[in-house]
Amino acid sequence: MTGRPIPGPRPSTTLGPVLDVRDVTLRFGGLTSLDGVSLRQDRGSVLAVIGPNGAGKTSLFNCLTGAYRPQRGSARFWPADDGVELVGRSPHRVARLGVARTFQNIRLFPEMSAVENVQVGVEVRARPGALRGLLPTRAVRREERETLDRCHELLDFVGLGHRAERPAAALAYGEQRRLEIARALGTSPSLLLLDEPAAGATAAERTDLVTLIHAIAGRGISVLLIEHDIRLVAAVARAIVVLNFGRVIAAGRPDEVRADPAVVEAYLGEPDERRDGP
Amino acid sequence: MKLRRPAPRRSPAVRSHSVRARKAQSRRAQLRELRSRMARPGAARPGGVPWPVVARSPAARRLGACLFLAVIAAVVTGPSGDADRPLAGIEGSFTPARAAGFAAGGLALWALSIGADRLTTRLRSAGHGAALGGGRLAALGGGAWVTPAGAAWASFRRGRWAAFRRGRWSAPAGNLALLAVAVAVPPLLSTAAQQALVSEIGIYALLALGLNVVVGYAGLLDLGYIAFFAIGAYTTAYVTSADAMPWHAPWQVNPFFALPVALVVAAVAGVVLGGPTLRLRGDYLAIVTLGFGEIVQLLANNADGVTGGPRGVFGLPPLSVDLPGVHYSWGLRPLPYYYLLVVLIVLVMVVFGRWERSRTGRAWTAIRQDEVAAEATGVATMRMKLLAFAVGASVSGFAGVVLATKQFFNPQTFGLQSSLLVLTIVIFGGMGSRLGVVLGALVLQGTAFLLRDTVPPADRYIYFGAVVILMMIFRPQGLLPPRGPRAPASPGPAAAPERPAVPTERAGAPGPAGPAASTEAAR
Repeated sequence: MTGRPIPGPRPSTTLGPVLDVRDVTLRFGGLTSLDGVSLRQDRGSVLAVIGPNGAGKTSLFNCLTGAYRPQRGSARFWPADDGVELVGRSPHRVARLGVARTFQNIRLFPEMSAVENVQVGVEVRARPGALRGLLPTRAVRREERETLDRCHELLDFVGLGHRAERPAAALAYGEQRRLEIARALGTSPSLLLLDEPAAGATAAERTDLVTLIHAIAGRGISVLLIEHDIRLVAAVARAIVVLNFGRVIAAGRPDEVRADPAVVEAYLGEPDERRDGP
Repeated sequence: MKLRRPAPRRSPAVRSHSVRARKAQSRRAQLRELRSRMARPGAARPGGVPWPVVARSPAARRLGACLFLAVIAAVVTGPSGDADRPLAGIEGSFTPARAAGFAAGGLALWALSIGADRLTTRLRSAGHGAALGGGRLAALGGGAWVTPAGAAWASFRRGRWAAFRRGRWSAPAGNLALLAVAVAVPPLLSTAAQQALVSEIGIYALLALGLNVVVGYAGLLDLGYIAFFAIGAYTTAYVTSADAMPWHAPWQVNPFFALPVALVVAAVAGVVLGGPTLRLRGDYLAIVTLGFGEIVQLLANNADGVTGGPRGVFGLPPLSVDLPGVHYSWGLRPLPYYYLLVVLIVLVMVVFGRWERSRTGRAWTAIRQDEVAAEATGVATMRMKLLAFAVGASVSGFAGVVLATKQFFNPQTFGLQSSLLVLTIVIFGGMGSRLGVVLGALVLQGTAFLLRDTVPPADRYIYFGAVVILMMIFRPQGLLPPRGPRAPASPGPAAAPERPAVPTERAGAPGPAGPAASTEAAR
């Protein structure tokens, strides 16, 4: 399922950072959800953000994608050689810049078929003009065919080729997660944010997910990942950032982070062997 | 409240677990009750079967529903009370003769429905053979054998007819047939019916098609939709006549030119209203659009010096074609307007049909189903919602032109009731389905027209309400719901979501949001 390249334009492969978050602070009234969070991600790498529930991981994602507007801080993103600021842009602009995301609680378009779900993402890159689809000219038809081809390739890429015509709501749980990834990839991102992609997955699905993330990263798409399962994180990410109470309490290679006493105390809370993994 | 299409029913495989569990539970409760009643012999019914068990049987419940319907029918058709004797209507409704008659009617309805059920069950069980079509026909004829004609019909159904239904010509042929009926039938009707076809059915079908874009495609609840209709009508008066309204354009144009003008003005009004309000969601949007509708009506009513106020607008020139060599006036008869409306409706349906399958339509669907996800996927939700508003408004601008050139109108024409009526038509016909909303206009407004001569005016809305309520109970998705994604060839058990076996998860968990949260908790 992962041998093929991801269809669509390849993002820039020049070295350097793809994302540089500095001092992001987000408050809801008196509650500080993120408190001066900074992190930096290299292009083409997989970076994991872990932390206990309520640590601010999803808030960080929401700040990066424009759903929340942090009170302070910046998030520079390099879709190509020139960086752009993500903070202060609306979610659809962020998506068009090349930051795609999935949701912790799956958010598909339930009554649309799998292929239509992906189509919505792919068509974001299509030529503008709401009236363009009205006349079935040859150019429009060719465009539609190309879009559909690309959607089917993406579905094959995540292993859902045989489910293309199913309504999204009728897919199995793990399939819905993969469909969300395919839809995000449809927007041709340079940075993909995955919010707990392995939640509720079986052992076999986790293995597939690791392969899938490697394949995505192998094609030059940087992946920023929120995940609880430390083994999965260690298998895919070269670097981990640990959040607790809205602050970065540790960052580094997986083995370093796992050995860090602050992490063990704040996040794991118990000896490593006792944690049940797949 | 965000208007959503009712979710498709979960397949039996999904529900079976919890349903079975619930059934087992209720069976246990019944047993408990049975035992407790047996302990007190006086409480049990003579037959030995406790009453609640009888009442729970489907046939008994259906009997109850039928008798209830009969009671309602008796009250509705009975005499009315007055302030002095408020109960006179009820008493008059249940004279012995009437009570007996309606009870018999209720029983007959019950027997019919039970009989129909038996028939379908028997046909289904026999239906795997070749005799399905023929069997049904023969059963209708009263016999259980397969007649030669029935066999021929069955083979036709399975053979050529099925191939035709699958083929690419079935949809165009069906549409052409409908269009032929729409063109051929009206001249045979009475003038009053033709009049109703224009001003109650046709115009409202056009309005419903426009509102369908806003409510059915984009999922935005607009309660002030009729305001754009008013704007279209008053714009027509402004540009086509010098004396219908106190305020008029410096030069007058042929009413046909009012069509593009009204389209643009209404669309601009849609954008002007939508710009600030579409940031709101659900209930808030509904309230603001409701206010907008009221404002427009009040303005029309009170701005005497501009719109003529409550006197209304009359004396607009009828539609006419004045080209060199071609002179035709639509005049005062309803039929020419009817055909114009048919042309407009077909045009709008064709354009929207193309549109709903384009990426614009997909973006609207995405917004309707999950706005947050659509925005995160890169859909410019604000712009698409504005577009939906503008498109819906421009269609009702069209309707306004036809109304204005056809007949007298005043601010009361554009009241809240009309807005709700259009919304009812859209929901009744099937949100998101073009043919559905047109049929909805035909059925609802046709019902109102047929009731006009037979039912006292005060009672008309009772029947109207009854039709809508029955529809919402038995077919909440509307007359002709839009077709979803093509269903897989065999929706067997494989179609059921195979979710991981997590103890906190129930088959009843609503949508995909449930499992994620519960797995989190379970881990």
